[in-house]
Amino acid sequence: MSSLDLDLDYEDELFVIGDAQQYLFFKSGGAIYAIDVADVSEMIEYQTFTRVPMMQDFIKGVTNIRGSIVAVVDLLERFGLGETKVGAKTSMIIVRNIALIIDEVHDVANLLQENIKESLEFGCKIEQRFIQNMAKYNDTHIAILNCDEILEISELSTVKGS
Amino acid sequence: MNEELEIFLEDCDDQLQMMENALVAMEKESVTEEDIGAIFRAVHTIKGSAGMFGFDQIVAFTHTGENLFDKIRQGEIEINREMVSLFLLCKDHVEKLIEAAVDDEPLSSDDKANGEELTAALNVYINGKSVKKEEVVALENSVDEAALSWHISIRFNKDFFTTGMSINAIFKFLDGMGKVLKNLAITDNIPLLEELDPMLPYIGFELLFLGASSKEEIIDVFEFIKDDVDLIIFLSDEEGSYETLCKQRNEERLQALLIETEFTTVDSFTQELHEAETTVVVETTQEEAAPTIKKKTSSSLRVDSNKIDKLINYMSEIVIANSKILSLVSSEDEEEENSELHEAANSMKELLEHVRDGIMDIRMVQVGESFNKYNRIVNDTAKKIGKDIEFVISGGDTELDKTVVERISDPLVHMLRNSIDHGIELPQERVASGKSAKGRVDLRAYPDSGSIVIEIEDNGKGLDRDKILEKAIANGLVNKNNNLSDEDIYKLIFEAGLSTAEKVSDISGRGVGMDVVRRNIEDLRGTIEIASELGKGSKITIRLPLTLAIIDGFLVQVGETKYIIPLENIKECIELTPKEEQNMGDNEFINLRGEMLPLLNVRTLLNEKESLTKRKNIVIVYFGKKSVGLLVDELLGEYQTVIKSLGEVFDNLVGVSGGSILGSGEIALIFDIPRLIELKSRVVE
Repeated sequence: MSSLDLDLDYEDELFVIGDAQQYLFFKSGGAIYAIDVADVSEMIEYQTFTRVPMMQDFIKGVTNIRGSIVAVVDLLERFGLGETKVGAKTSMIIVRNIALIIDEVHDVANLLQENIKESLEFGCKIEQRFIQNMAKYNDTHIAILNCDEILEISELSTVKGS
Repeated sequence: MNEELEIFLEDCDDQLQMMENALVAMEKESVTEEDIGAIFRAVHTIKGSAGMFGFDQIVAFTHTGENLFDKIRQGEIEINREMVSLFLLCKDHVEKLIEAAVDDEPLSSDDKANGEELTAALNVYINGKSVKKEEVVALENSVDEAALSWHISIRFNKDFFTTGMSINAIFKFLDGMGKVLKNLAITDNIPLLEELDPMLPYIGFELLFLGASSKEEIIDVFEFIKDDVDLIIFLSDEEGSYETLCKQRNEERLQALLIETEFTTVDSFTQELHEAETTVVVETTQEEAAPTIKKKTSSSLRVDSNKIDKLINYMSEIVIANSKILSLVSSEDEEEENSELHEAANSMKELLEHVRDGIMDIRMVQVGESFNKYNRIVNDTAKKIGKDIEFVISGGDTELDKTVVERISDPLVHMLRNSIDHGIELPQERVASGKSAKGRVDLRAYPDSGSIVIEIEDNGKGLDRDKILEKAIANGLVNKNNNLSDEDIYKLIFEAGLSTAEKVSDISGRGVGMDVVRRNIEDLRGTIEIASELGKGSKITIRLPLTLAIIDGFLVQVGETKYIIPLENIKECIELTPKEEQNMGDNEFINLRGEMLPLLNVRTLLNEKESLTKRKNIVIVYFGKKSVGLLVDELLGEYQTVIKSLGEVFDNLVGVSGGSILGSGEIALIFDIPRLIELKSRVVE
């Protein structure tokens, strides 16, 4: 899978002058988002999962990751933007022991502190609470996601109809 | 030492450590409510388990401590520094008490006196008199001023003289702190004059030192040269200490010299002088010289359960990997005969299953053993308060995870005591209300659909709904205008600070028990329910999930998902014939041999996709007296599997208790049949 063939030789990127942090860039619903690499434990190809009944729609089910049962969440659906269309590049990123379905992995790169901006109060297509910061990346503005909010257990674990 | 005592000792060690940590934290930083709560619970637990073994001295002493902490907890008394140090002393004393009790030895008179002083000091605070500093200080001084007779054994490393410290200086320091009663110079290592290097210290000393200093203070004397001297310090009257010394020094004439100079007597050595040592002799003398060491090693091995969990995970992985090999071998079979490989893979599979079962088994113990020890506590408690109780244990052969058994012990003690103290009435009351004079308490354990259920049932007076409610309103736990069901009200007894007992006894009634009970059960991811009828008795039902257990299940397919139904819930499987389906019409029950059997359509209840097959099957499950037919698509057969948690995202999911990874790597969901049926009933409502 080409999208996963990341340029892992980012040694030179580790020696960035100034305040920089590494982010994983990926696409979901066609848009690019970033997430702190420290939160990501793994990236895998999209794999089948077992549906778990009675959960909210964005909780797709559970999947087996090397003998561990891991919950699967469709990130796009979590944003309320419809189900991710599964294609050849569809991937899963494991964030805090939850597998997030995304369109494709884009890049791993550093973001300079000066390129990170406060998030807007409105104007983004995803809810403001899901956004930690905005960042300038390749001349566009993208959202750095707030994992605490997206993966808030009390919210994820709510059962339908309760 | 038997196993129960060992557990008691370990438990107390843990509790005391917790207590010490909290106290030390208080001393260093500020006092937090959490720390106070932790100490209170630790004292309470030690008292409870000591009571179980009938260690009255511990119970009496901890009871006083608990009283004071209760007041602190309630905010009646403010804790101060003196109290913290007093509690540290108390903690040490409890340690001694426990040691003496476990060894079944009487307490030394010093310790007894110390205990009385501590109790008195505690009572000063409890009775709310002004803080008498002198008393506490005097207490500490009395400990300090007792001159101790220390034996100090000194050897010098060859670099000693290069430190610039002189041997004389050491004696000067010691003279300042106390008195050197005996001084034996060890000169055996001094070589002949022609071989002597004047820069090397060949000499050593054995000193008998009388002083009020602690071991640490003596060691402090050697602070600057501690790397250049070899010190052994011990109390001279300590049993076996000289023998240990001679062993450590390993010097030929030391023992004889020590006896000659009357440091000690021949009797204190179990080993004869200059006797050639055989290994056997060494072993026996070691045991005699150090009985405390012997006690701490035992044949059972405590292993961190995480390690076993990890092993089980790897094991399941191997089983899965092996089943892949098996399927590969089987498919090749058609082209060329490779029965040997097939056979090897098969026997591998069997062996792996044995290993897996073995690992699982490490954790499982029968509950009976630990249940039996409650006999004593029930009898003693009942006797103490003049009640006549028949205690019936059933299901002792139920197997439960060892850690669960350990952690459920305290809660069970609390609940049993509660049943006896508050539940069962006095014989005359019972007779007056038309019951038999003898009360009955049942402790039951049984496996139930992948969980273990533990029930405590008594035929006492039951819970007084109105009294609980009144108290809860008074404590601000619930609003006056509430709309609580009876069950909700009973559940209030698990809230902190609600005790309906009117007077505090050392058995129960501080309102600490039940909330701790609930927390402990919840920590095990279990649930606790209570049913009660005024005048008839109450029943507490604890359901503990077996997060780590093999489950014998039946694999079925519904839509696209595979589900496992615990085998113990299954009565039989039948096919739903088209004819029967026609008979059903729009109803959701079938006629099974003349009886009505309600059907639960798993596909519609769980919103599964349309079935892939035409056939429809019914798995008849039961729990309690209810039988229900589960309508599923396909029956895939019996399956033995490891239950795995689905993770906290699915904590609120009802009807599914976990998942299991199948040989194909696919995940099957495990049904919690009782909850599933409950869910269905709710949906119907």
